[in-house]
Amino acid sequence: MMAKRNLRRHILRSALALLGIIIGVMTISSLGILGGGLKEGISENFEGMANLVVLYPNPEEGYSYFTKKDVDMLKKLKCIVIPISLRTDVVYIKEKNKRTYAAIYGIKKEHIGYLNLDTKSKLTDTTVYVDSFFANTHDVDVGDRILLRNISFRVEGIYNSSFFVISQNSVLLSEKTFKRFYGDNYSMIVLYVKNKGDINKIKNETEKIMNKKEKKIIILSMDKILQSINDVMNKVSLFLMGIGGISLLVAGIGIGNVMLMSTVERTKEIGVMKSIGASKRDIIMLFLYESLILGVVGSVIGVLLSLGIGYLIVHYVLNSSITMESLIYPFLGVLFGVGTSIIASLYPAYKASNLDPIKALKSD
Amino acid sequence: MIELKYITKSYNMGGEVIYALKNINLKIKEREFVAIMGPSGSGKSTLLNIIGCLDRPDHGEIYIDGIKIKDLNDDELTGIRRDKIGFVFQQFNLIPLLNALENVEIPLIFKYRNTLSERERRNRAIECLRMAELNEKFANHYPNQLSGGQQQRVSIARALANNPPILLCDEPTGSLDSKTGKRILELLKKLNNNGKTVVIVTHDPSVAEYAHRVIHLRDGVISSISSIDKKV
Ligand SMILES: Nc1ncnc2c1ncn2[C@@H]1O[C@H](COP(=O)(O)OP(=O)(O)O)[C@@H](O)[C@H]1O
Ligand SMILES: [Mg+2]
Repeated sequence: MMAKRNLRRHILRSALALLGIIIGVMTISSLGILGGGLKEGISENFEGMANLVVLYPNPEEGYSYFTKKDVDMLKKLKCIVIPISLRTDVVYIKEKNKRTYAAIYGIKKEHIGYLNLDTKSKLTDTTVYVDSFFANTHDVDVGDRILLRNISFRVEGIYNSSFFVISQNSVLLSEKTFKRFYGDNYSMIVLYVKNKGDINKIKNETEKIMNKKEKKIIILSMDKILQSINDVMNKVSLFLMGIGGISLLVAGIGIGNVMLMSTVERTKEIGVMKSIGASKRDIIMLFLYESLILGVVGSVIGVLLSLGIGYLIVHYVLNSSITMESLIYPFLGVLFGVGTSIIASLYPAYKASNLDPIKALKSD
Repeated sequence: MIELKYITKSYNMGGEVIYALKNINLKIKEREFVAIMGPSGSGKSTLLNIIGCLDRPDHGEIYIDGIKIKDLNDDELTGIRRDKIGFVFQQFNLIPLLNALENVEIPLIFKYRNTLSERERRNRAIECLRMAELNEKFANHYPNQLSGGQQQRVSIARALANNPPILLCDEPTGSLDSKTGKRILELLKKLNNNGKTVVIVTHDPSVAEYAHRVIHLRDGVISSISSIDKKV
């Protein structure tokens, strides 16, 4: 009862302290959500890739492509072997009457689903897919026609390129079509390992099969890359939240200040309360209760704001969604906000409770 | 009820020791109305604060209701202040944020915390305001909306809240005009008649009309005690 009115009496000062808490909590919480969203956005792009092991020929040993024999040897492994061919060639876009270069990939129709291209596989021998970068740059739509080596193909779909496997500015052909133009060799082989836990085993066996005498191939597994990306993202999140922590510290100092000023101003009141039977505990509780109100109100406002801001940024800027996991940050924010305000008022409360009632009564 | 033995209290003012009270011996009976008079600086407030357990003496012992105050720790002292003693000040010392009724509820909150229902607390506070003869329509007024006499009545009601046997009043009429002051003295006398032990510091000589005894202090020493022949 008194706590609320005291806060109301010093409405400006309380508002300032509140602002500090709001900003602190908002920073922690929204930076947390942001970090989480960033991570989520990146791992969404990479998630489907975690099951992939990518094999490149090692040019240092004079290898620049894989042959049918290499592919057959790998088929012994317990995984799906996806040979991929790559050339760069001129592409003529009929509708725009435009000539350009693109990376041309050849892949078996049934393998498209494993590459995390974000598209449905309906590739036929007379159609092609183009990636979204190519489509945007050249203003190409599904249904448009492009010419490769003077043969016309219908653009059947648009996919998002995937890191390390299918690059940007690319065109995807069926393996059969590709062979017709460019022959039989493969530029890389992707192994799809159903169970991520088997990735190391598969890598070791591949090593045995392919790199027996000399280091014929380079093996790249996505889980390692994902791991290090995750590590970096965690550090970024932590850093962002550190900034939030600093602003909470500042807020805490603000609240401590408000409470300390309050003890000085209310010296007489505290003296009166002591003389009519308030124990030290009562006085401490009064002060803690006041700061608890500040902490809770500030934190809740801060979290609501951060959820709003977080949603806007994550949804519209990062183009991903708020995960359940990152909802822990608003929770942390409230915890820190309330904690900070209580800790900050401990000293003022203690000081007030130890005032000598007689001196306090005499003061004005 | 109250017994003081060899009470001494001194203050150190820049190396110079000032004795506010010197070797005070005093017994105050239950239901007694005692006035303390004396010039400014003679130690009246100091004496009252020591009786009220707000202050501890340098030497000597105080017994309240037979309890030896010296032996109590801070919490127990707080308990004595809360349950046995009601304080009334010259400056009223009401809490400006709270209205009259809420001011009276404060000691109840300190004593009962949440064990008393809000309604019961309110009823008790209203009862105390009635005992202090404050018209009920002022219950929702804030201190700055009340006259001096009304504020003093609220502060007396607050002192009565936990139904203490002792009322200690430090110049309760000092900020009031003589007519209002007289009314307050009459109220205190009435409370005394109803069973309270009243110790009052005052400059008002007319207090003799009400008190059983008047104790005169001078330079920290009891210079004289005049008993007024009334039955306690
Ligand atoms: N906190 C203090 N520090 C120093 N001296 C004090 C203090 N309180 C009271 N005194 C001194 O003690 C003496 C008695 O004071 P007090 O009891 O307030 O007198 P009264 O109430 O009769 O006017 C005075 O000389 C006063 O200056
Ligand atoms: Mg005095």
